[in-house]
Amino acid sequence: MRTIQGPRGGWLVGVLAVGLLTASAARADVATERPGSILIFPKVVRDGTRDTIIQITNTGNLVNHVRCYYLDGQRGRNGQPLCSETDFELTLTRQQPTHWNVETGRQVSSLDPFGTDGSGLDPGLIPPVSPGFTGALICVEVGDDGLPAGQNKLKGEATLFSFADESKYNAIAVAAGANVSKDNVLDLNNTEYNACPAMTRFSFNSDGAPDPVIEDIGNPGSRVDTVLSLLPCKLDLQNGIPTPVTVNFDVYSEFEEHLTGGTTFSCWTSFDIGTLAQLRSSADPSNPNGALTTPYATVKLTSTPPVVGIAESFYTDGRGNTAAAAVNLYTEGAGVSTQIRLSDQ
Amino acid sequence: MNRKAYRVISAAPAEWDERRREMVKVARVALLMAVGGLVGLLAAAPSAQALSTADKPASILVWPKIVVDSNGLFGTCSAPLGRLCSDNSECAGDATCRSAATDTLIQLSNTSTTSGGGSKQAHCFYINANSHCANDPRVVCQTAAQCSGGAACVPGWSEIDFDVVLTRDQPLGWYASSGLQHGDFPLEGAGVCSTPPGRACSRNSDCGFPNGVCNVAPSNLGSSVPPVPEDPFVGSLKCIEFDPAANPPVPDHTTTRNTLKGEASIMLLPGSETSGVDVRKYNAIGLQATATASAPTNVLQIGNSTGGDTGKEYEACPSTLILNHLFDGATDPMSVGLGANSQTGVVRTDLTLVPCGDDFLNQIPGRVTAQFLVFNEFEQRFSGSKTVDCFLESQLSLLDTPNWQRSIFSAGVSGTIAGQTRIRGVGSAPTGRGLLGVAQLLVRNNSTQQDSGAAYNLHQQGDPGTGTAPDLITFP
Repeated sequence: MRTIQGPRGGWLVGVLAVGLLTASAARADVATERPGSILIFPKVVRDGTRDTIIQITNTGNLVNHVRCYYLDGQRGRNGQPLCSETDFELTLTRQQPTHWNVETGRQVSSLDPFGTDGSGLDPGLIPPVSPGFTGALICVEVGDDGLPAGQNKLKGEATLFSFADESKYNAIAVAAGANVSKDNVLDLNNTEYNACPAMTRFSFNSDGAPDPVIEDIGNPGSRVDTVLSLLPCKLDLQNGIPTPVTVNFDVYSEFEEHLTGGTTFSCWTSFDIGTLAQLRSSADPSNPNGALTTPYATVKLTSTPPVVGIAESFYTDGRGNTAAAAVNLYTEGAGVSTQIRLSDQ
Repeated sequence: MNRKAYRVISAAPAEWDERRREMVKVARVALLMAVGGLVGLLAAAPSAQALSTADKPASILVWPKIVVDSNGLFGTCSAPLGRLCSDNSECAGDATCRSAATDTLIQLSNTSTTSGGGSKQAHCFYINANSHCANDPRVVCQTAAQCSGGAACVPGWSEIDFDVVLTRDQPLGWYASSGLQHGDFPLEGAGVCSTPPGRACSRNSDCGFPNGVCNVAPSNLGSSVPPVPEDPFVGSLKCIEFDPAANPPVPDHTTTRNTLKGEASIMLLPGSETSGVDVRKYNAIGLQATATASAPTNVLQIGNSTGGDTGKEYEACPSTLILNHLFDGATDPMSVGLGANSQTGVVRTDLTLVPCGDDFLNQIPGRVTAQFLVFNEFEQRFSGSKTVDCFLESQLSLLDTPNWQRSIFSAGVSGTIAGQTRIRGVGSAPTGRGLLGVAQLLVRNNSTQQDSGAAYNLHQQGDPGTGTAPDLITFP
């Protein structure tokens, strides 16, 4: 009997070792430059003046099924985000890229002429978002059965655009560990999936300050504003329950001045950081009591629960022309465990 | 030993004996596989997540694309799509050459707190990738058409270096065209004497005898950022984190390493009433340092040595870069939106690649062959390659042919709007085979013929693995 237990034991040790080591190898926080199993687009807009193109690619050599959720963060009659979700499914063949405009979605049609928008293997029926939509998009790798599965092969980008202006960011990817459980609760706990970051950080032009280069070319009256969009990593898409979030800011100016502040929101938020005096320039002519006295600053964000997000800077010249540029936030460390509750199929 | 013991206790018939031997073999194979798996995964586990990064602080920062063109000398033709030009005569037919005054805002921050090491020094290199006319090296050119007398436009390469000292948590920003000179830095204050109190000082001997102490607060003293050496300028920037506490400062492999982060904002200012500013922003790419500091200190080993997992001073550059893009010449998919504001346009993607390794000491740039594997939305695959000699900046559809409409990156050839391009660096240059890069989406408005765009970081996949030569940065 020992000779039979021997191989069993050996295989068991092997499998256990593979499981443990694969799981530990996957431990990290989120990433914006490598594929993952959950993709988060923190800012998706269709508000009449701006629109969004989504690009998603399967970087693997196996077919990848994906469930996606639009989270509607526009404010309802009570002034709070609607926090409702619309979901749909995609199927991407090996290495397949796909794209769609959130205003139109994407239809399944084999009649799209060669080289036109819609040409290619349609990944599935993608619904358009409603007019006025501002919110986020979350996509999750699933198996043939529609339940979560971790291949870690998804990557994505979003292009926010208005007339003659584009800004683009990479989707935030959360890698899956070795054992993704077949249920609709995604545990972002560094075991099933990587945890969201403990801290995010970005550098910015002090909000409301003029831009020196725009001023130098003889176009005075410029200003730079930054809009921060944040999504909590704790989501209940099944019940549409908004997650309350508290965010703390640690701001550092070029003089090494340290300022602190905070804000709260529910479900999803996108706000001009200049609404907080600690992130606003003292040179902002429209609101001169800003605390920052240097042209550039950096800010650390810690929150409960952890958040992911992007920053988008708007450069306005003296003639009123505006250009936007989005940038992914830096992340540090692994935050506390959170859950994303998907809707039942 | 097991076999011997087995034989001693065995009282079974011969076939049982044989069977048990087989089972023992199976057990050994299983255990071997388990051990092999353990070893393999132990070797793979750290490298699986240790690559370059664009969203974590690091010890080497690379800004692949820095552009300055204060007078808007260089532009692109409205037709053929993306052709480089400085004058309408370089474009086809009635097409115009559109240019804009351009500058790059560089932001560099120290994420270190007091407990995390405090001040840090960045030793930086501007890499000038301008080409010059063969008959007049003072003239910067993009193509031979911009040189007089039919002279060739010769690619060039040179570097200038400088130091920036950053205090804890300090952000800094400067425009590449102007840099930061003494007087521009935010913290340049002199020290203050303890005795007599309040006296400005730079050393203890400036203070009262015998016990005067000059208290020098953390500052940017010792920093100077020159303007880029030419205008127009195109090139890249690399910064290496040094430990300022060491004398002389050396690359930082202390426990408080990996504290630098950076961003670049390329700003285009067409200067006309109808066209406003356009800004393209990306994160600097970081290579995180390990605790290993191999001699000599002026040769930085990025990735493992060829023979195995040894000597790695910095995490490896990835084996593959992944670029999601819209195929060049595709009708702007964004033009379907925005209702009354809708205008049609044509999209294209501009790619910048730089080698991970460079030899600044001997002025030998990194040279890597980039292999491109392109997938369209039909899952069809194309491939091509191009040499990256120090710096490559090109519209995608001009990488493989001068006629963009015949390119594998052209929407007319690929047949779909979106694509995925996997970029793999190969070669045997002493500086290595790694590549880093950044992309720009450009949209040409059909009515105004003006470009607008957005920059974004590339994705990455795969550790180059054992047996691949490391990338090396050598500096004076």
